[in-house]
Amino acid sequence: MFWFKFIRDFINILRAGQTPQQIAGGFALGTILGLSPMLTLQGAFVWLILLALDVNFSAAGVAMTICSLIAYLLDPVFHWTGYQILVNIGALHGLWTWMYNAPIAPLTRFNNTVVMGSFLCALILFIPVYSGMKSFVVAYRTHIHSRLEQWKIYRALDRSKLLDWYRKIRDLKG
Amino acid sequence: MRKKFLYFVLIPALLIGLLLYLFLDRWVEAGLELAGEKIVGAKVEIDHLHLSLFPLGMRWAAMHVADPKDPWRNLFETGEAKFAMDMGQLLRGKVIVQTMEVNSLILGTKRTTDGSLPKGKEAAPAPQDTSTFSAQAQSALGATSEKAPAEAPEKSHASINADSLLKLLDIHSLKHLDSLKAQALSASAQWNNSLADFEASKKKLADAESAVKSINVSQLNTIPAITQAISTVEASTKAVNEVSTAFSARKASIESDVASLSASSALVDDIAASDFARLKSMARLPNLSSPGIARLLVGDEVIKRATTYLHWIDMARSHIKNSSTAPPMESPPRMKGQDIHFPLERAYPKFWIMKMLISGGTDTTGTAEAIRAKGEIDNISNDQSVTHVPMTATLEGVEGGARSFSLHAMIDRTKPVPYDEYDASIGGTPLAAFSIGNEGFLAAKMVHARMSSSVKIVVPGSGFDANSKTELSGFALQFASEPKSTLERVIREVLQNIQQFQVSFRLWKSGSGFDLALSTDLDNQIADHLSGVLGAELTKAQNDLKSKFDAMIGPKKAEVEKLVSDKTSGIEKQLGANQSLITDKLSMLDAKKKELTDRLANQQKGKVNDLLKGILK
Repeated sequence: MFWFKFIRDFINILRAGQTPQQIAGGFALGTILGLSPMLTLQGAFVWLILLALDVNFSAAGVAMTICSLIAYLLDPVFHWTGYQILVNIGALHGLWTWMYNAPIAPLTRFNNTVVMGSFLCALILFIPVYSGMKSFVVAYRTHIHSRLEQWKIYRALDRSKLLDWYRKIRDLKG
Repeated sequence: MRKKFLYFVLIPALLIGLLLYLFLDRWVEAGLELAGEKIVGAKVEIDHLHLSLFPLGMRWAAMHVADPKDPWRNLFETGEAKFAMDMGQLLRGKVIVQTMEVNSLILGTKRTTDGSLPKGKEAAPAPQDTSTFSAQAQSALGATSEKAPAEAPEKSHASINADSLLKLLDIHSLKHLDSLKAQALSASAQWNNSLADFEASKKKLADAESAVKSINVSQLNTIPAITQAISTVEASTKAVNEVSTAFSARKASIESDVASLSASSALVDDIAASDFARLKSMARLPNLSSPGIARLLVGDEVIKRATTYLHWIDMARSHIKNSSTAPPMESPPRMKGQDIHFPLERAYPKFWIMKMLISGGTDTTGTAEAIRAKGEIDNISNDQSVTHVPMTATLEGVEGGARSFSLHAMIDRTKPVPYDEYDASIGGTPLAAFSIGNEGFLAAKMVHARMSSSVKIVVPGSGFDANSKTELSGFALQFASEPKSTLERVIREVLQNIQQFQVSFRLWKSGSGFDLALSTDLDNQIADHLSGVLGAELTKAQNDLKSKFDAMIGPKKAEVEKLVSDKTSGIEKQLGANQSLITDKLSMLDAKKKELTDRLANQQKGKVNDLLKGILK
């Protein structure tokens, strides 16, 4: 029921509730956490930001779930990207060596190929995900939802069990 | 600050902090025990571990590490141990310990509980790594382990069935003789064809000879007649040369065949000797040389023990590795990634115990059979290329004044090629049992023996060289059965009259793999006894075997050798005769040509003189 509640909250907030910025912020931070391996200093830092800022938890939870699956699938890409950045870009060796010898920095596990590759990808995706999610929420609230309701397929589905299930989830009381 | 942050983060964080404060010691203790059990393969128990924050360090009251091979004994146990960590380096993710003190290190104490791990907790057996020293040595030395003689030598004369053995023996020399015979007959047929061809050419030689002989030089008075005769001689010479060239080619081919047959014939004795050596091996006549006796006596046990000790060297090799700054791209499990390591500027590796001081302690209660060790282990680190110092260990120990050991070890990973050196000695160690001989020969156990041993091992890169001397004394022998042969009886007599003996061995790795050299100070004594008792019988048994073997291959060998000899000498004789014939003909032609040339010159000179006389008149 915990995840139902998350999904229900997420569907509800798409329609109304928190601001698009809060939803998009939660989703973007959840993306970082979902894509990166746990137990890193930067992971803990992102968790702190998520907990300290007034962003949407449900969006973060959904993003983490989706992005964890994506991260599992993209692991070879992250490993390759991290390896190239850590080993094959000579200009960055000085920075990595400095960080490797600096206090605290090794706790970020930056020298791990998957940590480096996934975190870099997550950072690059942060702004597009934030902007994209914000635009999507605004669009969903203004016209996507009302347009969806006019689609024949929507009306057909409206009478289907799938949508009953969707509504049940949506209207679940926590 | 949000209330949720307060309730769901801050308060839980404080609770976790409290739990850590209360239970961290136990968790760390359990974690270290688990990690130790994974490495050792037996129970590791730590008592009263305590972490302190100021100064940051750790101490425990006692540690017991069970022996995986004898779970009712401890590999070692320690009393109180304590060390402090460098806080600044810990924040950099590095565990740096200046000095670690370990008190009361005792080896081989008895346990009151079983130290083996529960079945479920035991690590799955790793797949056999064939590149380890122990695997290589096992594979090389296991195959060369000395086999016991199957029959008693004094019985061998009577009981060795030479005919049966000869039937079983795959006699290469007979096959070689058959092949040689076929080769000789085939070559001989070809030679006959060549000789027939030459016989046909002889008509040309005869024609040339008759054409030249018909020229009477003294009757040739004109230059054209002489020139005509010279042309005839040259034509005949050309014909003889053609025959000579064809003959030379055939001769070269035949000479090559003869050389090949002679070489094959010369190999017969070597192949026969090799056959006989295999026959002797099948008869399993004992090897009375000193190295053979040493292997028979203690080979199996020494190889077994050496292989066991090689596991420790393999462990040092596999756990203490050279580092690399640019590792090749690996294929790690999903979500694990690969750690890339960078040069460490502050010369601190991730883990470094600079000095570990070990004291044996003084409390002797309940440890009468154990060894108390004291000494120092320096520079235990995960990356010697950063510390630039090898790991060294100097340990020594005593037990009740009778049993002692010392160990000096250096494990060097500061350079690209690893280098290990061990120098160990142990004295007065009681042995539970020391096996002698093997299942098939002289199976016996040496009980109540005391062993003193010294070993020096050098392991440079993939090389290996170990030299050891072991003295066994104060033993009693328990034989598994009555002596089955004179050989066993003689060795028993020698062993029963001695109180101690020495075994020296060298185990080294050459290009082809591991080699073992073994000797004992009993070798010559046993060899002399054996020679006296068994020498004559053994020689007779060998001679009988040899005569049967010779009888089997002798007639065929004589037949084939005679055939080859007849054929080759016959063809050589024939070739010589034909060569002489051609040479004679060519000499005759040369002489005739010279005679004609001189006659022509004289005729030309006479003509010139006549012409001058006509001009001067």
